[in-house]
Amino acid sequence: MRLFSVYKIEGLNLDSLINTLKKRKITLYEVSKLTPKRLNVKVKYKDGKKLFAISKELCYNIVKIKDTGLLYPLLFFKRNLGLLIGGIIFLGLSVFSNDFIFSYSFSGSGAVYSQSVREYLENKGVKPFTRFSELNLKTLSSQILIDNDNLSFVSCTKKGNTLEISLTKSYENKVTLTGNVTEFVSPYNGVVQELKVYRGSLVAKVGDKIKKGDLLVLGEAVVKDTLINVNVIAYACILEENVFEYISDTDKDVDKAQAFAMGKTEGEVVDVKTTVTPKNDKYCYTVSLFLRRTILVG
Amino acid sequence: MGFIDEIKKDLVDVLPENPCFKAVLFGESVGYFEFVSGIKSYSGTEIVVFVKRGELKICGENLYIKKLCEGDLVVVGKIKAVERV
Repeated sequence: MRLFSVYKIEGLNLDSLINTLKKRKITLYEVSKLTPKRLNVKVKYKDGKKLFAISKELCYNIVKIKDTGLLYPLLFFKRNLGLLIGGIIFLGLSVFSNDFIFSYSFSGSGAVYSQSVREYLENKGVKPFTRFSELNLKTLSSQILIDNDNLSFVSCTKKGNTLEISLTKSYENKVTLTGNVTEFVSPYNGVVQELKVYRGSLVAKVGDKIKKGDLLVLGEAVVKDTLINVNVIAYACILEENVFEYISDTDKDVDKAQAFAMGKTEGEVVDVKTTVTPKNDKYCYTVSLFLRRTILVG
Repeated sequence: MGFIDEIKKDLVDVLPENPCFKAVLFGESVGYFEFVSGIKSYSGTEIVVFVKRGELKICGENLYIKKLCEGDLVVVGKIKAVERV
């Protein structure tokens, strides 16, 4: 690990100077003669003063170009100690202050329960100015989910100094598997997003547009080339589209129209599309709500 | 280096105890010289150095002194010839 300095030396008879430096036990590295009167030479950092003294003594013009080497960063910080201290303080403060929770943010369909979740967190000791490093966010997410029956999904993440909590409301009633379902029919109109069959035969597939009452899974299975009747166990996720109309005097009531539509239905809304058309002297808002419906039968 | 030691053993009567210089070339791009007492002249095409009992001329292109200390000299560039003067 070394530190070097590069100098530019100008003068006559530079060859004689090289010999003089060598005789004075200064090791020279990368000696390059740019012109007959100009030389660039690299020496060890500690030989710099000696080189200066000798060159000045012999009437050469000497200028330091740069310091270089693996140890140069240490030298830089030694010369700029204030910068180093400031940098360390800044880094420390950023890391330290980034570790504190300054606020919560709730999102998702379960955000209606934000107040109760906030009280739950405070009872568990998670308050503003709690440190993120003291929490395990995965464990916290699981605890919130277990202790709140109204929620079907919870995710806690750190974003800057905000604890972001995504909550999904639990819409469906708990299902008890009876073991005597002979076929799985769709209770909704919509598009099949997911279809898993644990027992039975698939009739519909992902992407199919279906109507209420359409068959999704049949209670049959082939066992050793023989068709037998089985009780269906299956899970489906259907994207249901519900369309609502809202009439208003202005064409700037999109939010009101969407709130009206959402108030008329229950379920996890994944998308909303709104179109506005003039009708007589008023405006007709057509709001299409896309709801995710999950069904488990068995 | 085992090969060199063998040669040294066989030529022990012929090899001088205190050679006036030693030169080792690595291809044509690096030359290492020992027992160099000083630089007589230095340019990109020719470096003349003082050795015991004479001079050594190193000819080539883009020559430059990579290291010079005590009696050791390392020259880098396209070395075309090393001549005892």
